[in-house]
Amino acid sequence: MKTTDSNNVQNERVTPPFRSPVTPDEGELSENELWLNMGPQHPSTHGVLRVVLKMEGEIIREARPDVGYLHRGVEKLAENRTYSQFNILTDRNDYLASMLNNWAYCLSVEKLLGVRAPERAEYLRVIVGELNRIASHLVFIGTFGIDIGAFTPFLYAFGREREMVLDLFERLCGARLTYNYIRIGGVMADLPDGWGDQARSFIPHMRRCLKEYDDLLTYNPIFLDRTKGIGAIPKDKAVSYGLSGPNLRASGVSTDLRKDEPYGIYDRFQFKPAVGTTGDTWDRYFVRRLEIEESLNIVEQALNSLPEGDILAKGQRPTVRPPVGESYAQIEGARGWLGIYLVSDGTERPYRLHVRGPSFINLTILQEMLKGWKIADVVAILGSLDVVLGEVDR
Amino acid sequence: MSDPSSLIQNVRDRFPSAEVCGALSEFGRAEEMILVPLNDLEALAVFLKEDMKLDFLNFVTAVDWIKNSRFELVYLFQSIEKPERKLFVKVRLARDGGDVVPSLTALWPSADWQEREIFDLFGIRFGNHPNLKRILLWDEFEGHPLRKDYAHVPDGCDSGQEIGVPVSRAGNPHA
Amino acid sequence: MGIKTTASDPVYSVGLMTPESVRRRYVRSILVLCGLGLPVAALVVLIGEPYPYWERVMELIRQYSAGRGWPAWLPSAVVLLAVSSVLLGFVQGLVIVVHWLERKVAAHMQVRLGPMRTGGWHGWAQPIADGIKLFMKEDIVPESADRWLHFLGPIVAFVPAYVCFIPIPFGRDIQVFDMDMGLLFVFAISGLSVLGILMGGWASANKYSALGGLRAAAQLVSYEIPRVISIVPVVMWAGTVSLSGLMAVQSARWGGIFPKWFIFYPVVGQISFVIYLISSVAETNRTPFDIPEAESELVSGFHTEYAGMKFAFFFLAEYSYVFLASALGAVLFLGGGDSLPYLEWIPSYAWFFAKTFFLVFLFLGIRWTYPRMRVDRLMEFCWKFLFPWSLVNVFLAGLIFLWRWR
Repeated sequence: MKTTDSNNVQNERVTPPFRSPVTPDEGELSENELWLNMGPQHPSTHGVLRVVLKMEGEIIREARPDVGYLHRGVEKLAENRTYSQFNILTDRNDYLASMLNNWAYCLSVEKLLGVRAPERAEYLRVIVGELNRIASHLVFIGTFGIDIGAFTPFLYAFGREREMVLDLFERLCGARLTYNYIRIGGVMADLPDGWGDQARSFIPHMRRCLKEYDDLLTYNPIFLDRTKGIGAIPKDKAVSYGLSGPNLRASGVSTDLRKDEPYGIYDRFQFKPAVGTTGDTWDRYFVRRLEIEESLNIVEQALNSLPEGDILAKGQRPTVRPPVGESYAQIEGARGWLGIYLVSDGTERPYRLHVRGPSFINLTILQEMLKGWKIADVVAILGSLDVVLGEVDR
Repeated sequence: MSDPSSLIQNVRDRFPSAEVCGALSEFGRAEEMILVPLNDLEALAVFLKEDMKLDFLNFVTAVDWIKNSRFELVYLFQSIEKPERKLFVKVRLARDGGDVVPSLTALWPSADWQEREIFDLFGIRFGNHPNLKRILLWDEFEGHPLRKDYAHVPDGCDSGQEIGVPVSRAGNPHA
Repeated sequence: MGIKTTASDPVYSVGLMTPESVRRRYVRSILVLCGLGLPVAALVVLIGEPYPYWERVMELIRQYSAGRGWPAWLPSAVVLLAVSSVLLGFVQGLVIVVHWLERKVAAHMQVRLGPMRTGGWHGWAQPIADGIKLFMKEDIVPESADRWLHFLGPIVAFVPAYVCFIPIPFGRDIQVFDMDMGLLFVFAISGLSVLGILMGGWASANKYSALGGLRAAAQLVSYEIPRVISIVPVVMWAGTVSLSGLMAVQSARWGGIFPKWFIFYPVVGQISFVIYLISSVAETNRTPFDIPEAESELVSGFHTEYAGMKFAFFFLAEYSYVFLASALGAVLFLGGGDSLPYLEWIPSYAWFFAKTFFLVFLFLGIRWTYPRMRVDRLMEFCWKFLFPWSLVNVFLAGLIFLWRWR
């Protein structure tokens, strides 16, 4: 009959072997306040985030996020792997947008090597990258719906549309989550027969479904009530807290690396970065919903102008040995600016690798943002930041 | 102003001690980085933010140069409106732990967790950081894993074999 | 938009269920249902109202008892006891049906199939299997819990849910006990359940449970008010609080043809119905108003620390309240067992269940469509919108009834 419940209020609980830096102290509480431990096992912390909340009734007075439950030491592991071996681990950082992680890493190694991917490979990267962005945003829409309490959109976005994207990827590279498709100097495989048509047929379907989400979620009065004006981040605050990607654009900064510092072949596509106005929870949701549309446009353009040719740079071997040097590549990931900083000492293993995980930096603002909101808003705000704990903890 | 070399020129005019140190490999051009003394870092950060309008601290990280017995901190300052305007700044400090790096948390709150991460994984101390605690690891953790002299735990990648060559079947439970 | 799977590739569909095979199964099921349902329906129509048979049976029992020289109260007491037990089983069966329906309706709203295997036919035995599983699970009580309250909570929540069914007329003259105060009885007793939820939430010694319990107390007490006021016009109009009496009043016809159900009463009827429906959804803790158990916020709210049969009690209470709210809605607004014109040959209980399940379906649809409201907005919605409007409605009803009685 022993349970290890972390929220027991009456008993002294068993002291764990080590204390987390945020372990709450009853002595800090004033009257009418209580510590509420949210996570790491909680339905809506999107993995294993822990937030210790000081609450007065339902209102948050202080929030202390605790990360690191998923820390695998990816940056340390990189120092003991060859450049190609590490590509597999990039998938595990932001596992909802593995393609983009592959891409950022490969781009960084390619910069070190001075190798450019062939034209066709660049197009394929754009196609799979944008499809993966769509898949990632679909997960966001679905899980955000669940956070707000709407269960049905989750099964539409996650179980129907994202499944179609995953089917596409599966046909392309055999994997449904950790693709490892983009390789140093190109991509792994060319398109199978009929893949392009399958991808093309997905685009109008997805556009139809976006209308469905609008009916069910985006303009639902209760949804608006729960998200409009909640957790607004003003522009300057968003910039100083280092937010990037959709979270930043929701605050009214239109910067999109695909547009403003184009990498790969993004300067060839017509699209308009989605920008919000107030930076509240609804804006962060809506920017992502608009981004799906933009990504669809890009995929459509890329599919239509896909050239023939090689998919891997000529003479590219699995074991690469870049010259001594450093490189930094950052791309517009699904959650923000995804950068890989590489230091090479001329061996076949990186001397140092740093992942600028957008989720990690986007989460910094959480402790500031939650103050004064209600516990139901904690869930909405955290959900709207769209962090992936695999990337936060690395 | 958007020319990065003029940016570096501006910085060097203001901070004569800053020197160009190496470049990042880019495909066409090389991205120059500057090295400033530790004492100048805070002033440089203020200068970059206020005067140069590099309002976005992209990332902070550290590199352990164990052979030279020093740490190198790498900062990337960027302009959010014009992302091509950016500056890589390096700071060197002694590896024995005597140096304390000024924290940029007051200027950019985004440095908060990243500096904690560097403290956690490298053991570099940041002065006047509001909450310098371990972030990814727990308090009782001994050592700083990203230091090159951290006890190395051998794994399957230590065999030094080429990729694609399977480990011998003997002793490999997956073979 | 159907279910898109890689249809040709059986590996990725569960077992060997492809969209085609599922479609075939559904067509076959409809045929089977028609084959089974038509004879049953014919039997129902042939037998008609059960009340005359019941009268005869009661007469026989009384004669038997009198022949044996037993006291006169004995047969009615025994029959009442027997009927109550039958009701308990019957309601439990209904709850199982509602639960199964919930899962299937939810699944089909969400482009999936729901249970398809247990029992062989569209997972009909899934709720039973779940019940057996819950029976056999370990009963976990947190160390620091208040054991007595933790034990009492589910029972206090569960018992009123069943007692409430006593005055419900499942059709013309099909009632365990016809109370003059039936309506008041139902509301009085169903209000007790909140005590059980509060007990469970408090006794678990878990902050999430405590928050859930407190939210439940605030919410259920608040929504009780517009819910009761919303049915005041019905009572004013019918002039009775006996549920069978309400049904009888609505069994008349406007102009000899149009069913005299209260929902058709201009303006007042519709406002009443909408307020009743909304506040009933809130009273049953279901999704736009499920803040006491809000999964994404409070893990499971008041029943976080409950497992096994105690959890099942909370669960059964919730579903029986869904059925109860639908049944009450059918009696109060849809004429209960009253038929549509020219369809009088269908027996009253068939009408009652048709209307009730229609309302149950509405409940399910609402649950799986809307997001959850925030706790303070929820209270605002109750006190600043539903409550004033229900009062205005009563006022309006009073004016109309004064000006033109009924």
